[in-house]
Amino acid sequence: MAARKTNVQKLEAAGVLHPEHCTDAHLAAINKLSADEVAALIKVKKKVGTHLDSSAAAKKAGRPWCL
Amino acid sequence: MSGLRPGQALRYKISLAEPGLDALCREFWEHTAVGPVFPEYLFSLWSSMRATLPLLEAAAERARVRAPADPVCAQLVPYLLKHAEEERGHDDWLLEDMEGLGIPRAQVVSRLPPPDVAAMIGAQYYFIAHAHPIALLGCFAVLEGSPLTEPDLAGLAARAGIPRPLLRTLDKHAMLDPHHRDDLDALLDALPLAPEHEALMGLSALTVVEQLGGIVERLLALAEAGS
Repeated sequence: MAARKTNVQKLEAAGVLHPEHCTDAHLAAINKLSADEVAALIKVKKKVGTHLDSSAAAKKAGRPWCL
Repeated sequence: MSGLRPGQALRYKISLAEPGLDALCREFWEHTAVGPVFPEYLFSLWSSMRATLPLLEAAAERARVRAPADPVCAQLVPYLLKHAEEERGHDDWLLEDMEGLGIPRAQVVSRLPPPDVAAMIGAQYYFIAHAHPIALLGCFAVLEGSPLTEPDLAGLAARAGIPRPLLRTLDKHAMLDPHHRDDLDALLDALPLAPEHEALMGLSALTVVEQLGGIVERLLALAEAGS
């Protein structure tokens, strides 16, 4: 039987994160995510993540929304 | 033990999801046709803002009912009530800004709301009523988490040909939201949160990222169609 994937492995496979860019504290936080949160992250990546590129991620702009 | 405080952990989860949303927001905000679409953007934003105070009041009431047996709810009540007072009237500010742009108030309030905004707000009502009112903090962490800056607004005013005074609501939030963000982070670090609370806030936040992305995609499609 194949070993169960960790959250880090699942999210890396989905292109959500690169583990080599994560600190130990971040990796620990990722592996504490609930199954629903992991699924939500993968879903968001599929729906909205096509605009992702590494340079864009560095150019963070304000979000045009408020309460 | 993750080593991240709850506020840090929530921000980190959001940071994993937001690059796509941020790229969409930037594409919309910097679009050459953002001017003609700006009224529709303001209507979508107002449709969301008009629900802020009722959401806070609903969460506060739910927390108040649960407080005797729920220490997280007991600490949420004063925060939610204080935040409600701080947000009171902000939707009216935006109506006034829209009137300055020639959009009559009566026209705005009588329009049917965008379904995507209704869904985003509706999900929060669901989480508050059927999960835990702490979910609303996940929503707020996204919506107040990356405030517009003065350069963002100056650039928009120039591109869209909008007089700066008519961006008053966005200007005020650019100033206020960093403080709200800090208040939220401090609250999250002080609450006696269980893993299920953190999971619910994370789920709520990620749901908002997805839904807000859909709203911005709709507005971007309008801008593209008009360019």
